[in-house]
This record gives sequence, C-alpha cells and structure tokens, in this order.
Amino acid sequence: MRYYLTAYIIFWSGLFLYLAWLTGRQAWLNRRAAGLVERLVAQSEGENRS
Amino acid sequence: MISSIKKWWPRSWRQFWTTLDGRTYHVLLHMRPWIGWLAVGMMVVTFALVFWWVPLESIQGYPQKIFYIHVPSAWLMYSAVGVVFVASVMYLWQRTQLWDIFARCAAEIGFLFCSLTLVTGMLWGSPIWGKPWVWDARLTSTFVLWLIYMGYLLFRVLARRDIEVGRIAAVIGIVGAIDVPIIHLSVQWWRTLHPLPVVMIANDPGGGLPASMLVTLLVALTSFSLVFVYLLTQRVWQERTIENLGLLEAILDRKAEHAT
Repeated sequence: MRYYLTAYIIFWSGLFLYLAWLTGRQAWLNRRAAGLVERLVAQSEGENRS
Repeated sequence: MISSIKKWWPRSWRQFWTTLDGRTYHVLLHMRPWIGWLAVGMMVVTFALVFWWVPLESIQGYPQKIFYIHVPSAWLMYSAVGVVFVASVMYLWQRTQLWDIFARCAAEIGFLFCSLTLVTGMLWGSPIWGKPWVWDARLTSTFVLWLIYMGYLLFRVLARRDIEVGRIAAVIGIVGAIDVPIIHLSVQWWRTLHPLPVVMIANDPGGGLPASMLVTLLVALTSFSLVFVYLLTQRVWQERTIENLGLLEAILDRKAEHAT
C-alpha cells in the first residue's frame, strides 16, 4: 500500500508541477503582451499628437 | 462546413507537406478546449476505475496498481519521442520554425514522462524485486533515453544563440529516438528481471490480462494520450506566441529608433 500510494502521489505531483509551471509561463506571457499593447498605444498616441 | 474543408484541403502533395506544420497546429488549436476537458474527464474515469473498480491482483496486491500509471507514462514517453523524431526530420527537411517548436515542446513532455516512468517503475520494483533499481536492459535503456533528453533540453537552454541550435537539436532528437525500439525490444533480446509485455503481443493483442485490467489499462492509455495532445498544443501555442511577441517588440524598437 505504501509504494502504491507513493507512486500515485509522485505521479500527480509531477503532473501538477508541470501544469503550475505552464500556468506561470502563461501569466508571464500575458504580462508581456499587456506591456506590448501599452507600448503600441503610447506610440500611436505620440504619432497622433505629432 | 464543406466550404471550410475545401478551403483547408491541400491542392497538391507538395502543398500538403509544406503546410503540414501549420495545418496540424491550427487543427490542434481549434480542438484544444475540447481535448482539455475530455482529458480531465477521462483522467477522473481512469482513477475512479483504478481506485474503486479494478480488482486487486492476487499475487502482488496493491503494488500492481502502479501498472496503470507506469505503462501509460511509458506509452506517453514513446509518443513524445515519436513526435520529436517526426518534427526533427521535418525541420531538417523544411527548416520551418514551427517544426522546431513542436520538437522542443514534445521533448520537454517526453522528459517529464520518462522521469515518471522511471520513478513509478522503481516504486513498483521495490516491493516485488526487493530493490528499486537493477541494471536490467529495459531499465538501463530507459535511463539512457532520460540522459539523452536531459542533454537535449540542456543544450536547448545553454547553447549559444549564434550557432544553429535547431539543426543540432534535431540531430540529437533523431538519434535519441533510435533508443525507443531498443527499449521496447530489450526485454525480448536480453531476458532479465523486467517482465515481458502483457498486451499488444503478436496473435494475442489482449495478452493474458483479465478483462477488467485490460479495460482499465485502455482507458488509462486513452486519457494519457489526450493529456499529451493537450499539453503539447498548449506548449506549442505558448512558444509560438513568445516568438510572435518578440517579433512585434523588435518592430516597435526599430520604429522607436527611427523616431529618435
């Protein structure tokens, strides 16, 4: 029973750690995209003023 | 529906091969939410079957239940290596970025499941063999694959940008894939501790498994395959988006330079 449970716990930990890393990367990607949108807006506003 | 199929249908073999990466990517991207939810549902069914339905094996008892994550993890590892192989060959042939991304992301998932195969195998071996590790042909060849993919991923991270990373990585990916048939046939070539395959045997696809164990295994294999397709699509989408954002940032930097 001990080995069986340990194997399943390790399996799920591995899968969830990978999913957590994937989610973290997604959050970083969203921030980067938002920064890019801000830059685009600022640039187009600057072009409109000039 | 028919018009969209007509639009997507390749007009020649040449067009089929040259646009295969983009077509595969877009089909997977459209199906991603469905695949994700299906994978979650199938995983729940798999673990419900393992914990509450499938009977305990009479000789090994509880440790035998590790079989339902060990074998599908190995299957997923084989599938990932297969994707790395195909994507690497296609990258060397066509030199399109998307094939390189497919290979890189599949290698990452393959490495994760190769590690899980090794660890779950060790936890199964401990009570049955009396020790977690033996330098058996199957275990050793799987460990070699783990080392190859660790090298592949480290090379991807640490290689200098000025060398052609994709081409060298593709060669490593192809060489690594040669290990898969060796792993699979090792139990027949060298008879040691690891048991022979119990399913997908010539003339007897079901092997000697009782129906309940075979059904649980097939459900587990299906759910793991769906998890693999979902993870691969998600990772490829992320990497593609990172490349596109980098391109946009470079254009904006260029524009800003011209403005000053």
